[in-house]
Amino acid sequence: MKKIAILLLAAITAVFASDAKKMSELKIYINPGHGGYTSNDRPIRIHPFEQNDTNGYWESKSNLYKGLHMYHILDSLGATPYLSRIKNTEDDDRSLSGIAAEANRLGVDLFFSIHSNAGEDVNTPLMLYRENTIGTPRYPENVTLSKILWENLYSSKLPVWTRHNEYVVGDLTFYDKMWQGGLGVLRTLYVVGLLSEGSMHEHRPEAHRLMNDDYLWLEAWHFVKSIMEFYDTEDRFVTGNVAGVVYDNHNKREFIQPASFHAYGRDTYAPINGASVELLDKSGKVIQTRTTDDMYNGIFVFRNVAPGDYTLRSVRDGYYQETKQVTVTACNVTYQDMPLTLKREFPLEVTAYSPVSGEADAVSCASTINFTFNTDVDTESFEKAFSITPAVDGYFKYSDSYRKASFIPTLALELNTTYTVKVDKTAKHPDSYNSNPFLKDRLEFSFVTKGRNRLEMIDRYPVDGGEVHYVAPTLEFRFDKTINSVSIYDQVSVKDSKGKSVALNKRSSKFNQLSNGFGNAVIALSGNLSVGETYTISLSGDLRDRENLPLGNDVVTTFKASDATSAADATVINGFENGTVFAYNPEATKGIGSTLPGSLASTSVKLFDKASARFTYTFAENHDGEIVWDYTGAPHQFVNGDVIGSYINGDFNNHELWVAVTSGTDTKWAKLCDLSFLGWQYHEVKLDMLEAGYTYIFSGVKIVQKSSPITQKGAFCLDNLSARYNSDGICDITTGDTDIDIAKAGDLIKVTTDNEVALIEIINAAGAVVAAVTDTDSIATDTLVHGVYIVKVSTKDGRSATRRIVI
Amino acid sequence: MKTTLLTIALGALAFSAGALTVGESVRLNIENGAHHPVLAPDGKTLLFSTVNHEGLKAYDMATATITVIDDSRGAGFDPVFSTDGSEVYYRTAITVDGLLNRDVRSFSLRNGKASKLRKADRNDVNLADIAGDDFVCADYKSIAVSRAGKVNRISPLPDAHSYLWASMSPDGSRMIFTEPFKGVFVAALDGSGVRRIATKGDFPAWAGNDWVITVVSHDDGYVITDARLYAVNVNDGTMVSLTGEDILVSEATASADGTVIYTDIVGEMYMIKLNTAD
Repeated sequence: MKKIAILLLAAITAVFASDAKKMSELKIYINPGHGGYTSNDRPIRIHPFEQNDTNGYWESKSNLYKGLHMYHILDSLGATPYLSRIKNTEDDDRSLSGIAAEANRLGVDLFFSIHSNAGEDVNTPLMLYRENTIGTPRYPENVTLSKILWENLYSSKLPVWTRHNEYVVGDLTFYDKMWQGGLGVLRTLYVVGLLSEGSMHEHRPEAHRLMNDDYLWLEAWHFVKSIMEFYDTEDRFVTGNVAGVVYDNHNKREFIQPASFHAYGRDTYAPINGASVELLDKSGKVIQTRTTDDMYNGIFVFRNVAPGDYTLRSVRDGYYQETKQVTVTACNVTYQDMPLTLKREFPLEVTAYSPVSGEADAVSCASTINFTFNTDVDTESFEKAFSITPAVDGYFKYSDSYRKASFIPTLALELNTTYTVKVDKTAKHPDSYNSNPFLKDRLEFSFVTKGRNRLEMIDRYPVDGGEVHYVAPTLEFRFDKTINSVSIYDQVSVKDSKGKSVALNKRSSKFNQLSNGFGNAVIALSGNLSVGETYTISLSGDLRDRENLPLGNDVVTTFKASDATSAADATVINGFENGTVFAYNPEATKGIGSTLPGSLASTSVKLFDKASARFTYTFAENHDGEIVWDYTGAPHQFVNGDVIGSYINGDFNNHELWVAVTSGTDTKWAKLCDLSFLGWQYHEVKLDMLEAGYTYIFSGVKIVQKSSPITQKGAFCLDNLSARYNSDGICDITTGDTDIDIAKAGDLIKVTTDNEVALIEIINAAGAVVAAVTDTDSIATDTLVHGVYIVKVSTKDGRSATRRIVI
Repeated sequence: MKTTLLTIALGALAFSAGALTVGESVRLNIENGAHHPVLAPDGKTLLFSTVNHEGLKAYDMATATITVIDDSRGAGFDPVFSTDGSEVYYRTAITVDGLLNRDVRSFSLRNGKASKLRKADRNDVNLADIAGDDFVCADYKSIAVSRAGKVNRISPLPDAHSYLWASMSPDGSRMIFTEPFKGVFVAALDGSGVRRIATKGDFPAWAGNDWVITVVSHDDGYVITDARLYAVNVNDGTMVSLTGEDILVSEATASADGTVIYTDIVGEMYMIKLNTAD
């Protein structure tokens, strides 16, 4: 029993002994990522440096400084660190394979690659570890260490993090579909290792922080602390650190630097360069002093402070001094920011305001009420001190670090109204140390608004309850003024009857294509709609024109998807598949614009088969214009009572489309439709104005300008010109022997007489015999084209008769 | 120093460049995922491992047969042949409480006998020292040169950051090595006459007494974007591209008879024969 007890004790001791690691046992390879000053070394332009200025931010530089700090911290703890590079010059870019080979050859316990990450509007640490295959870590220790390090870096309160859950990913997973082989520096490594993306250097506030040496030191300190935790070393840091940011407690970044970048939380305030920060012990003795750098980060870090209670004291010229109490514990960082108050030793004043006007110079109803102050204004007191009569719903907006304020009406001001604005003396600036921060002089001013305060919708396609051809349709709204389309896709939505959104084709959608100051929104939908389904297109009342006047009320249009190809029950006489068959007729045309009319075969806009006939036109402004295209294709005959039609792709310009048929010198025009629609529709017209008994040939189309100031330029297409023929078909003009009856019976012409028929001839309008039979009383007509013919009958007893017949 | 860079598209055909004749690049019929190639001095045996250095295998270049030497972690990192190529010396790696420990093992290619020569510990061991009397190997800040049992540590470049991939020429008269920021150098065994033959180069290896091969890679700091295999004349620095831009070369090895083995980034292995005779 005793022997067993001794062995058990020995085993326990061995476990503890094996756990008891010291930093001095560790061999760590440090790889500060990148090297030198090329595009691969990740320069980020920050104020006040020019792009690629080597004094500005380079990831290669901050990585190196972190690495050097890590090296010295590890060295001071007795560990054996190695660095893959110690400089940052043009020659300091070595191969990734060589770095891994060196770490392998040295037989280090840990490989530590130091980087920061791209990402302009976000800021988060990211740990990458080697995977053998996607989802399979090379070593489980890689993941453990990565998680510890992520937690430690995320614990830092100097950055403003935008992601708050762990971000630890294998390299093959992270680079999947981006690049083959994963991270080059980890690929051939066989020791435990990771690549730390400590933060996002493209995020400008972070790039400014990465210019601060104390900040880089603290990240390196977290690296080493993570190693201590990973190895559970006996020795830990016996001191702590105090870190924070000195910043203006009210002024924004734009107060001190160009700040057209995203910033969050404390990063939106102006960091204070050149501020003094002192650390005082309980006796009031200054232990350490820091001065914030001139890199717009406000960072201070007191390194290696003995545990205990301390006072932080910070001041800078032009600011009031602040003090804070902090407690330092070993192996930790105590974070304490130092927001300072800017001295404003004067009262608040309004130095400019607008609008001011009388009836003669009335202002836009889209006007905002604007103020400029002599210093930054306290928003709460200003908003309470502000009033406008008559009352207006609106909100406040500030700029130039609160030196400018605007009251913005939610929609627009009332038209033809006199407004009075007042700001009471209770408005103040935010200097709480100043005994008189209030507005020096009460402010009151008035202005008068103009007679227009809404964007007006003047037309739309489809109309409410209308139909739209289902294939990738286009919808359009027209307005009395050009619109501001910047946020248009937040203001337009299309849904089916179940509320499911229909995607918009942003590439094909267009805006403000009209002339004379009119605006429009041409909304193209992605893909096809379902025939028979009901849809709604909603336009937000917050859509505004370029004067910023709103539509005011939401516009909801309901429409049904239909199949335009099923509209016609007619004979196709020309599909326009074989090139253009129209020619612009300048002699018959009047009132055209600077661009000549055109016609061509369009293979992109067509309803059937390969092509349609496309017509482009430009009218002169405010002219009673007509543009004529002559038809040059194969002849197609029509007679009185026939119907001619076509599928038409309209341009919603509301001009009129006409078709022409001609017999000899007699040309008849018939209006086919108004081009008051977009996309494909079928339209037809009955040719009941033709002279009875005469054959007409389809001879052209024309577009007639409607009196409209909106647009004189457009295009339309025709596809499948069609006809429906008059089934009656026989004219009652008969000559000759009245006892010979000539009648149409289906596809035959039958002759009834008291004698035998000797000859039946069918003669066309040109006088040519196109069919003839002998010794029979009927003749077939099914092979003849539509038109007017003369049927001549001769009997064996020498009589004859003729009749005009339509076939 | 004159360095001539000849960029020659490889294609499928052999070609000549000066005294160098380059054979066709042939893919070896070895399982996908083979990495870390090391050729025996006589070119008859090829050692290889996985991308993770897991296990060590031997490929007989004459019979195309594969022998599994060891399947331990780390066994595939930097194995060393005995001078006659019959023995393989290597180390396996284990972590004890997170700390790296390595042993020393040997394997006879002649009779398949495996031996454990040293228990795993945290001491650094020079395998070349075990494998034979005459060797050149990089030892981080210096290069170890052993002749007839006497080891000298030299640093041919006074401001070197470190040394990598040092090796002795087949005729025992010269060495090559890589300084990671300066390139590939050739020097006498005492470190004199040091001369740069390439401004960049990983895995340099002798492919005869006058030619070495090396991998020149470029990266964006994260991933390798371009990596090609070159033959370099150690006398005049002439560089001949052995691979094109269609392949990302990963590692390479060579032997005195002009046999060159290289891997691509996914672990396919290829062989090129160089004829370096005058």
